Amino acid sequence: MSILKIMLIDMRRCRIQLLLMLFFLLIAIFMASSGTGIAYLTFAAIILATQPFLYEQRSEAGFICMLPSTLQERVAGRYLFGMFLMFLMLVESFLMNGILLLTEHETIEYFLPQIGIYWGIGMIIIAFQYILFYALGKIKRQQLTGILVMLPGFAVFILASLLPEYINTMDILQWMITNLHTIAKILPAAAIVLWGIAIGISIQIAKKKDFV
Amino acid sequence: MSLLNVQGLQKTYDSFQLKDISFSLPKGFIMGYIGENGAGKTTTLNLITHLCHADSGTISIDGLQYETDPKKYIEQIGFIGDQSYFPGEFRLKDIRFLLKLMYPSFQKDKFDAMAANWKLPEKTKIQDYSRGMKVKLMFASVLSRDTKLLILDEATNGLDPVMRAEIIDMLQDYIMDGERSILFSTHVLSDLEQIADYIVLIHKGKILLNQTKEELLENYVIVHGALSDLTEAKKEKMIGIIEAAYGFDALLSSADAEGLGQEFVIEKASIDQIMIHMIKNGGNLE
Repeated sequence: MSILKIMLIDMRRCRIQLLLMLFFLLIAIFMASSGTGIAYLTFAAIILATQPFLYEQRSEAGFICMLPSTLQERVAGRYLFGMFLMFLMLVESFLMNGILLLTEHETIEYFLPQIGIYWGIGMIIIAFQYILFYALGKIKRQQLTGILVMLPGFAVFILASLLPEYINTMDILQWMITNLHTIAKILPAAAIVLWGIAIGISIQIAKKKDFV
Repeated sequence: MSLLNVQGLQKTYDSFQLKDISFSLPKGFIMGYIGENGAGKTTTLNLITHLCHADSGTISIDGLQYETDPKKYIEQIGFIGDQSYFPGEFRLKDIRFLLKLMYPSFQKDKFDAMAANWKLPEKTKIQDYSRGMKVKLMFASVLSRDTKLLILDEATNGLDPVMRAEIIDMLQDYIMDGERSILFSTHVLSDLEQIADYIVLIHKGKILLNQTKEELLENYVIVHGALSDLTEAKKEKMIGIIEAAYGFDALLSSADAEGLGQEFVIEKASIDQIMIHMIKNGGNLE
């Protein structure tokens, strides 16, 4: 129950960002027919999931820590906030697909596999982001925090840019297209398992840190 | 019976170490926790509130250690800092929501009454509150729920005299039932002279003094005089001699002050003066 309460507090603090997800939905609807709407919503959710950590850089230390909760509940509550954003991404993706169906009489190509894959990727990236933020603890410089928020996205981009030099990406893409439905089932399941591991790692990191 | 029991607390940072901090605060009393900037006051309070982890030592509040029941331990504490710890973008309704969500003992009516009495604006963000309003909000949030230990970390610094007087009254009301206590860290030592029962002085991470306020004020006097009147024998008895244009000031035990000589002016020492001279003396009272 306390985990939910911690999530509610994060939601209250980040209510503007949650409203922004609605705004992002509008943009995603315009991108839907080009097939990138779900990716856009995933990107938005990943960025917004870091907001509670950014607020804590500015806030007085100890706000969350002085609430009656255990460390485990605070960490799990934070992860639940991230998961809530990915849930919003799911809901908005379905909304987007529904609007496309009503207006264009078509659906997003490979909609369900895309949902599964992007949801899985989003959850994995958020998990790594959260581990990174817990490892770093309180960051005093806002500029550094801004860079760290973009780091996972940059890492994915650099990886995607470098990969073609080392492996035949067309073969991989072909394999992915052939096994799209399988990947769409395995990736979310792997993400949930990784999420659980990430929470455990974050708790162990936070145990050694002050003001967490 | 002790409400707060701190034993052998240690915390090491790169450039600072808190060493073997031990003290007890009985129920129904106020303890002033004083020291110069960087002495370790806030570090001690952060360890008591479990904002940071001690390297060793134990802390218990009403017999309960944090490790036994973290939630109950934290619930017993009402913390008021020198800065507001509420998110700046929150408004009063958000604080109300938060307190109701997290504290089973939160009394909304009491909180609303205090907010109305102190005219805390509903629609203004906390970050736009004045310093006095922020302190009042922290007090309202703490006093509208059941706590056993109030910890004030320089909460009255920079407040006007009217506000400070109001807070002093609230603090005295808080301990009236004899079951609750206050740990008050402040640079405004005149506040402690009004209400503190115990004084603990920390210097460079170590406790130098732990006495009742009455003992402290009875046991020491301030001596003023001309340097030329200060013989070696008398000088040895003085604590933390401070030379000035007119002569010197020094702290002296009341026992040593008897028969000192008519050439010196002796007056009661304030907590301020005791602290200054003791630290000037390298942290000794001899």
